[in-house]
Amino acid sequence: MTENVLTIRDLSVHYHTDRGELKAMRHVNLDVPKGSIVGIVGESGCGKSTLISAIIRLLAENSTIPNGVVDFENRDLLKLSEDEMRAIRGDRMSIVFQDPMSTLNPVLSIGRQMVDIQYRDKKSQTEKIKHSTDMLASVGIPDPASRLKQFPHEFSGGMQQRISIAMALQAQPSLLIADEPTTALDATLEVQIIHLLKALQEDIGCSILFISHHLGVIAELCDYVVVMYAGEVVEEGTVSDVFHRPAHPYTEKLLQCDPAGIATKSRSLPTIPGEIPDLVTLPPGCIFKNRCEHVMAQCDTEVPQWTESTKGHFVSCHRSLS
Amino acid sequence: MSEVLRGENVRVRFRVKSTIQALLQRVSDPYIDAVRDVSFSISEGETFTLVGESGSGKSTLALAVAGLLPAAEGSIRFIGDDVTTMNAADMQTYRKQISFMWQNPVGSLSPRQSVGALITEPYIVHGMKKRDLKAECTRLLKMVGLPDHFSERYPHQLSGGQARRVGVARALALNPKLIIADEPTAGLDVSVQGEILNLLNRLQDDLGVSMFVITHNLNIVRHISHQTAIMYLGRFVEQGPTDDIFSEPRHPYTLALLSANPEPDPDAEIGRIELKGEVPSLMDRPLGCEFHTRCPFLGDNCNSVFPPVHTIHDTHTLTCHYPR
Repeated sequence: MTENVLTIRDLSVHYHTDRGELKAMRHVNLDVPKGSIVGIVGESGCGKSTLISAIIRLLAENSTIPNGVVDFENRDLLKLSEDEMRAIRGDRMSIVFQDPMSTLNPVLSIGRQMVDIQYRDKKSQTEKIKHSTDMLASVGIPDPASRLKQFPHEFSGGMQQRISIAMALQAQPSLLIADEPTTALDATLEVQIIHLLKALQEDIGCSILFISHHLGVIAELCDYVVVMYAGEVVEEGTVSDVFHRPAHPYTEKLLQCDPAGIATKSRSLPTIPGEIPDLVTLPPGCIFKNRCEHVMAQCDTEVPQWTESTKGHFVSCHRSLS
Repeated sequence: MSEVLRGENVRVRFRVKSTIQALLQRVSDPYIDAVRDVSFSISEGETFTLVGESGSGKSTLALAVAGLLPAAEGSIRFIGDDVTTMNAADMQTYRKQISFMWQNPVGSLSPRQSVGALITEPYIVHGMKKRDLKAECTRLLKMVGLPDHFSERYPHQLSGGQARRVGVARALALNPKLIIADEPTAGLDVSVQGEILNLLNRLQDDLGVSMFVITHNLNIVRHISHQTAIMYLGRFVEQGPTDDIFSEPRHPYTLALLSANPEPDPDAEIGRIELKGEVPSLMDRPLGCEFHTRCPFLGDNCNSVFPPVHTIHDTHTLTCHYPR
């Protein structure tokens, strides 16, 4: 059994809204084993962003965490003081966001930004510049020493994302959170970034929590995958278990819907009819029941339990138990 | 089938240096060609898809087709009339017959207008106020599969997929012959993406409308399109019937694009053609074949001679020295 870098147990996040308590995330369990890449898939509004914000403790002001534990390197992040949390962010745990242009400061040179974020290290300026140059070279930016003097707008989108990755990995964190890092990029660049992440991960030995709604990218990059729907984790397992033997009807549907998996020409593509339920007034029973094809009487009243269907493959669905 | 739109050797240029800058920096050509020598034709009831990476000139060409950007050279004919030389009055009539679906579904709707007002705006703009706007609104909402009470809603109350449907309703209002759709599924979830594509396909079958679709998502092209063109640095490197492009891709760039699509299968065999480097700048087009700086199958004269056009099966063309 490998050790976990990040273990989340029974974590819920609620937001206060005018209409009442919005239960954005409910009873989430998640494991990120050391040195592995874990993917989170789910459609908009499924709570992916809430989950990341909860992990790095940057939730909006109107949020509360009624229950749960976020265990990172054997410390419960939810119990740390703001100062202790700050020491972790960017050092032990860092994040790459979706849009590289808004991650980088447009009025400071790349070099200045890369040196600035090494404020914790007691090194000389020359050493810090050297380290930045090495990082840029490791993400495949040609002629790194002279490019340090350039500003973000002088780089293309793919280059900017490489720089963001270099900055996130500069302090050699044990966990890198990547929030849809390839969404703003084109297909050929997307592939380049995935390969880069994989190579760097093997090199540095960190774990990656990779958020995406692109199933193909998850299949190629990740070791484990977590499927979220309407604020709940509905399925978790190794990539090949979840993609080849989906146990939850939502995962099954999601895989069918991806046009990349449909090789023959079709004028009518599969969809998931219906909508995500209102998270203020949660319906009783299973969260997916109004869109599920296999709905049973039990689904209406009982919330399905989080169970291990086969080894290492977890699911919350009544069907998989019966 | 009659032809709705035909573009011939279309070229769209942007000025990037002022006269004085050009003089001082000794630049002979102060323009860049965002679209260069492209020709295409769209028949009635057909979908033409333009595929390419950001900055390849897809949107520029679409704007030129809509008459929103002037073409420097070439002609764009809509049922015989040249869009590039139309006067303002003809342009007004032309725009009644085409419509545009913009890329950002929510951003392209005015946040201060209700859905009902947004959908019926085309009638007001084109001086058809006397119509029963309420009835038209009901008709259009029904066509795109939204309930009637949605006419009271405002854009911020819509999900991405619903906002896209409103965009489709707006585009359909004047019964156009041609719809130009810029990334119709960008930013939508896979399940919603399917709904929108099914809707577009169904409307095309029912109404016989032609479509000009821009996308960088090759996965959807196969399911919606009849003709496809692959664009790189403002040129079509390969074009032809969609089925041929998918079954027999010949240009290295098309091959790379097709193989760059990660499949939702962890054990998939990846015979991937990987491209090196970045897209060159339009200010400084490579000599010879413009793709040679990234091409994995580089040959002898690729960096010096502009490649010839090959034609396969009459309709499938590509520009390459060494087609695969």
